[in-house]
Amino acid sequence: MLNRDQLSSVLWFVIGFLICASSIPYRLGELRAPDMGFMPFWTGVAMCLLSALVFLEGTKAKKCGTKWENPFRGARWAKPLIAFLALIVYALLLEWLGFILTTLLLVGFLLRTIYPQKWSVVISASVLTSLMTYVVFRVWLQTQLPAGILSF
Amino acid sequence: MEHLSSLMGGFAVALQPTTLLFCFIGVLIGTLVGILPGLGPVAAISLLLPTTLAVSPVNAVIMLAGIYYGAMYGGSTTSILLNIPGEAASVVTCLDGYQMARQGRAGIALGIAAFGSFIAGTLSIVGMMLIAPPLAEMALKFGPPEYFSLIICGVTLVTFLTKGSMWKALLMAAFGFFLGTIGIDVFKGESRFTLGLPELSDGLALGPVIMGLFGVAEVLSNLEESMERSIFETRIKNLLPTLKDWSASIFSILRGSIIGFLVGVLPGGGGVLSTFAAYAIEKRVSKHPERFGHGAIEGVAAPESANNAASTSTFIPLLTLGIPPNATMAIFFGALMIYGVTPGPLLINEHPDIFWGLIASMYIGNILLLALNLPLIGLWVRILKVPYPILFPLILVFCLIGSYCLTNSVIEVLSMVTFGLIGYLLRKFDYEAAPLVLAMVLGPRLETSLRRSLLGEQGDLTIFITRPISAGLLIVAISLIVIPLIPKIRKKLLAVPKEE
Repeated sequence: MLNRDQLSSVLWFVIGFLICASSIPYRLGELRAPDMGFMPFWTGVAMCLLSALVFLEGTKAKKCGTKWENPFRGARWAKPLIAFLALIVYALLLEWLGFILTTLLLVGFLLRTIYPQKWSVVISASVLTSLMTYVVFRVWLQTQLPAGILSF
Repeated sequence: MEHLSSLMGGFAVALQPTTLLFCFIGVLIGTLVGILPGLGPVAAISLLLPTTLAVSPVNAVIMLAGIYYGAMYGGSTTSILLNIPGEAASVVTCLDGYQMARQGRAGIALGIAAFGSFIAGTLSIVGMMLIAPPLAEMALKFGPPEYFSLIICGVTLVTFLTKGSMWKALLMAAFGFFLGTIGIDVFKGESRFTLGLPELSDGLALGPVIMGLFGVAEVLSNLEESMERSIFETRIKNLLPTLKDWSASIFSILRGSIIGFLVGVLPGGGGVLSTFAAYAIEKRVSKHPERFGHGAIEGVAAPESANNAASTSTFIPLLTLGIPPNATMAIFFGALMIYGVTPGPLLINEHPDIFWGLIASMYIGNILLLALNLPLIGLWVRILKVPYPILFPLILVFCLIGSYCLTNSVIEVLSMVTFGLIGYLLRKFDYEAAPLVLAMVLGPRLETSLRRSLLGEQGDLTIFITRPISAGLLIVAISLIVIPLIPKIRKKLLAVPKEE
């Protein structure tokens, strides 16, 4: 089993290789006239070389006894995952539902699911957060926030 | 004399009522940001960047700078009272600051942190005022090869100074350089890697990337942990240090100021490194090093002075060379470009109001911070009592607003959330995000310098080693990569005969 450094370096090698491959259609040009693909291609090559060095470093560490350790073991990884998914849903709903409603739902959801709070806290904190941020950013600071179905 | 009259001009700008107000708002927000764990100056500046577009560049720059050095002041409060650093640069302050609080000397610790920060900040401004103009003059002689080598040297230095594996840091830098190539190619005017999204034509927006990698990733990491924390219950009294405290800490403050100033100028230096360096040196020069970690006042004075000196001097490479030395300055770089101001050697001559106005505002900001930190400590402590489970959704909402407002596009929000996940995973696998951000910012300039150099010299790569400044910078960069390898190679060579 690969250890953490070895595993991550393999992933970076693949990313580097993909960057090299996707740079070629942009034309590399030549040294006297480098084209659009020149810089991304060579950064991809550098990534492949550096990931190989990280792999070697990981291999050396493995010989010294550093084995695979699950970086998520012991961590409450479900909470970050839920929060991340909630943020994705927020982004997808933002323009349709509008800032106030989406923010209210997001804050309420996070308060209720991540570190469960009483409903009174959830409702008051989510309403206050969405309204206060709206007043500060939209009304006072005049920033553009999506109106959505509420039309304001 | 010339500098003095320029500085007076700067004061004329900074003392305008509106400018003064923006300076005050900046340091106030900065202090708040420094106090609240999980919301750093990088995220705060990114968040407020869109709101500054309506004001003049001078006021905007002064406010954003106020947030940065204000956060350095505020960070000490959480370190001393909670043993939780509000800022990464305040980690070292926990060691002795919290112990002082437990011994009933919280007030003195907070007081010396505020006074030390004030003295160091002021000394660093003087240094900046003297060094920046000649450095900018020198940078005017730089051509594309020198800029290419300078960026390579700067990024290598950042990777050299990051904790953990240097190869991993260089890998992050390479990935950052790639991200910097996304968008329209300046030579051909055609799009690259934009996935057909018009939002990516100008490249990946820096704000969402930084807010994701630092703000969202920090929150996601914090969610894994139990968030039960208690504020050390003590009456905060005697904020003014006694003569004995002053005599014990004045040289620590001065040493911290010098170390902070020098480290702040280095790419990758900044607040965090300067505090560790100042603390280590203080412990070494002390006649009683055993007191460190048990409430030594020098252990608070030196790092707090260092991080404030560094937060000022870190502006030097940005304003004179156009090279941001850390992630916060990278945001500043982006902000200045949005305001139509190009950071670099011409900035002092083309925009003296911004350069000298900023310097003068720092003097004023330091006084404002002293006035804010000492009398308002009670208020800051009350804010700290807001539990993190209530606070974290608010931090996320701020980041979401900040990323959306940049271009009023959901793509930026998705970009921020994606980089939040990337940042979280990078932390899990011990990769640092700072080299990635710096390389992403400097990538377009590196590419332009490289292609211009090669075009101008018909592809002759020796241009980078035949020009003395360029060659010198590349030698430094190569040395930084080779130096850490020497002990390992030596060890191997010595091991060979034994095996034989």
